[in-house]
Amino acid sequence: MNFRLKHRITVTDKIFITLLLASFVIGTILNEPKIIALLIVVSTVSVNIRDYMRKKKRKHYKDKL
Amino acid sequence: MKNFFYLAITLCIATGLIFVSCDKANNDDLNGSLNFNSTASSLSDNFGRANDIPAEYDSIDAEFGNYLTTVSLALIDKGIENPTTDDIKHEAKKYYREKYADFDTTMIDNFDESAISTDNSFLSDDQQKTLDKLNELIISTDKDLFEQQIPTMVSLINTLPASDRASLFIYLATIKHGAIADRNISIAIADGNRFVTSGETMVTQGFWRWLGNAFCGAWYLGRYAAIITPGAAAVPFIDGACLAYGLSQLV
Repeated sequence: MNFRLKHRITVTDKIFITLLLASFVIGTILNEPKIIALLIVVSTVSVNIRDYMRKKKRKHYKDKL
Repeated sequence: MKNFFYLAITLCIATGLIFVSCDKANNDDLNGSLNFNSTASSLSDNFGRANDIPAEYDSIDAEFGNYLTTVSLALIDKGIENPTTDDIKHEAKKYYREKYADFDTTMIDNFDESAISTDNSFLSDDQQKTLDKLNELIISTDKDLFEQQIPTMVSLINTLPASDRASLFIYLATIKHGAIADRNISIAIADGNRFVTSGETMVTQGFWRWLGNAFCGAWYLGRYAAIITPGAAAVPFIDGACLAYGLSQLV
């Protein structure tokens, strides 16, 4: 259970992967590195919130078990 | 405690990186890694040297070449005091052909002479306004004010597509030939993505930014794709570094 929760790629993850890749393409084409930088900042926050929530969820399952 | 330690170390690294990045960002032009300090000092050094242009001719072009200086000085050498657009086009083509055998000179050929004084269609209104201000500064004698405007100038130049940059420089060379040459202020784009001043070692624009973006992008792709798992000890540090890098690029 823990393993699956930790390593499962959710729809949100896929959306962010797409956004990240898209920002690279668009940022490069438009010569706007700020688009990529913005996505990097958003990704940092998002991925850490995701990890925190997963950790919380795992703890919840563990406690339940 | 362990987490606090990680957090503290990460914050230290992040803060350091922000300072370093901000300092670098201030020194760089807005789109790349041009060394602004050395550029400014070079301009400062060169600014007052109105009378020693011929002596510097060789050294100016030694590293890579400098469009305006090369063109301007070549024209002066030929005794052309008031060059026409054709004179400048001719020298520009010669310069580019010497530097790049396969350089497409059609963009120079296609430059519309009438655009010089009447319709600078390759510039937006804002760009034209900025350019007008810069032109005033180029012919002014206020060195400090001029140097303050360098980032604006670099920024303006970087907003133009490569083909328009050639036009911009023909425009500048034509209109401001005398003032620029007299003061030995050399402002050049020798290639589509590079901005150089005389005697400066050129840094390929955007390389470090590209590297940072590529690393952080790959890092987060790995994080989202669960290739990098949050358990590893280095994760918070690299996350912190990427956050600092991203923020510094946004500032």
